[in-house]
Formats: sequence, C-alpha cells, structure tokens
Amino acid sequence: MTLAKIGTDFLYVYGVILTEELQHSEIPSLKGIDQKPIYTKKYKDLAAVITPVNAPSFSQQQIDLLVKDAEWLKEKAFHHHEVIAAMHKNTTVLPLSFCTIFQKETTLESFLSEQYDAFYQKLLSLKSKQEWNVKMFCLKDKALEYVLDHNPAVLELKEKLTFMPKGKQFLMKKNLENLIAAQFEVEQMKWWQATNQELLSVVHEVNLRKNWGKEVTERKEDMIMNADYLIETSNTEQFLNKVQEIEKTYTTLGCTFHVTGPWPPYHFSKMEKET
Amino acid sequence: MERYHLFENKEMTLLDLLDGIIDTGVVVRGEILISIANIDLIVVDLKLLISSIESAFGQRELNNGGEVILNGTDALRLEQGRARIGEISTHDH
Repeated sequence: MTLAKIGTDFLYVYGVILTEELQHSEIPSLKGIDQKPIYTKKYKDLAAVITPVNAPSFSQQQIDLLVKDAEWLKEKAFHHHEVIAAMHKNTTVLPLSFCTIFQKETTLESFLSEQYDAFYQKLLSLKSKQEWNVKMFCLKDKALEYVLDHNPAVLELKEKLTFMPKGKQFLMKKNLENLIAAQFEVEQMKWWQATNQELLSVVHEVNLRKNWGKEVTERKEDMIMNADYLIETSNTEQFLNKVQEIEKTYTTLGCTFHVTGPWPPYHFSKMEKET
Repeated sequence: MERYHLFENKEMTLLDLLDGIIDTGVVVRGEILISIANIDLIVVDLKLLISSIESAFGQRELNNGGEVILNGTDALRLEQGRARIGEISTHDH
C-alpha cells in the first residue's frame, strides 16, 4: 500500500498484531469504519491493522462532536469491536483505544518504531489469552436473611438482647440495626473477595472494575463484583466450570453470576504513552 | 450462571463494550494523532446515552441471523425508547 493510494486520508488504527501470526491468518474481510478496506501496515515484527478514513469527517473536532451522538457511537463502537474480535479469533491482538487516528502513514510508522519493544513484549504476554468478565449480583433480602441467621456478631447481640430488660432492649435495637447493616457490608465483601480469590487459581491476571449501580443495570440485585480476568484460552472450560462451582456456594446467599466473553484483552492492554 | 453472548443482553454488553474500548487498550496522547481520550467517561453517562437509543439496533440484530434476545425485559424497555437524552461530559485534560 502506497501513500499515493491513501491520498489525504487519515489512518484509523484498530490494533497491533504480530507479523508472524499474520502469515497464518487473514485480516477480517470487513469494511473499515469509513467503508474503506482494512489492511495492515508492517513494521519489523509488528503489524498495525488500519483503514483509511476521510480526513474532514474524522478530524479531532468532528470526533469530539460525533461521540456525543449515541447512534454514531453505538454503531462505530460495535464496528471497532467487531474488527478487533475477528482478529482476536486467530491472532494475538493489542487493541488500541476507540478512535485512534493518525494523520499520516509516516507518523504511524514512527509511533510503531518508538513503541516497538513495549508493544512486542506486551503482545508476547497476551499470546493465547482471552479476557472474560464476571459480574456478581446479590439479592439484598436473601443476603440479609443470611446475615440475620448466620453472622456471629449479629447472633451474639440478638441473644444478648433477649436477656435485657424491655427498656434497654428498645435502646439497643438501634445498635442491632447498625450492626446488621455493617455486617451485611462485611459479609458481601467477604463473598466477592473469596470468589475472586478462588478464580485467581485459574486465571493469569485480574482487573477489578467499579460496580455499576441499579440505575445502570436495572436489575433488582446489587452488583457486588465487576471483574475482568485474563485467562489462557486453553483454560476457558476450567474457568467457566469454576464460576459455576462457586455460584453453587453462593446461590443460597442470594448471589448470581453474569459472565461475558471471550473479549479481546481490552483491560489488559493499557499503556499510557506520551508521544 | 448467566452466560451471555455479546449481543444477547445488548444493553449491558454495550456498556461493557464502551467501558472496554474507550480509554483502554493502548491510549496514545499527542499532537500527531487524533483520539477521544479527552472524554471523561462515566458509566452512568453511558447508560443515559444508551437509553436514548431507539429500536433500530434491535432490528439489525434480528436481521443478522436471528440472535435471540434472552433478557427480554431490557430489550423491551430499550425499544420503548425512553427518550432520555444522554450526555457525555467532556473536559480538557
């Protein structure tokens, strides 16, 4: 591909892959984000997966406007993922952030040259791995029931209360309520931490994300864990079985698991680079 | 265990997707290229944004070989199009 063929287009970069793997697989036969072909720009053992985009339509100013358009964002975000996911099926991919655009092929080249070692090492570390996301949800009423019936601190105070005179019982009730609320938090933290700990035995790396509120999930349960796991592709079944096994323990406590994947290693590719 | 294909529970997975691809992966900042890294993306903002999306997406999905939407409630709500206008807050770093 020559510069002349691209003309004044900018270059949209989806991600970086290893040249050696490129020989064994194909670039997805999808059209690019601006309906132009997707191809690779090689630099030593690295290859950037790119597509030309019309410069005025993908200027910084235009992008800043477009990302506020839900319809555009949704369509293009899915497209970006679709291309990366298609590559990730057969190759190791280092995904670049959505809408990473270079103005010239030469700047892309110098970018690859500057980051060569970091990218190459990162790609080697991501070989044969995939990302899975596990969200743990907990139904408050059921979890509360468990805390009331099984939490040692709560049980102890409840028992003490029964031996207190009526007046004092009334005063202590507020204490009990506070203790229940505190122990509820403690128990839930123990549950997700134990879950995460168990999963660590079959995963390579973990990335804990913020839990989403009910206004986001629209579920009646609370999200108590939102974690990304980087796993060896060959361990997928083992990983999923492990989640199922853990879930059995927590069903009685009102917890369920929501699993998505395999994802390209979006949360394990982060590299902040000043250029 | 609820195991979802990317397009089944689309609202949640779209959020995951945006949470994944924006400002993650390799983030490059500098004058030689264009990026959207100056967006302060908060999940709640995303949610509002997605809430404003109408049913066109669902149609495309069904046409694309009949992916079944398992979480019907979410899909239905989405299609009813609570026309909330979402905003992504932007600021300069």
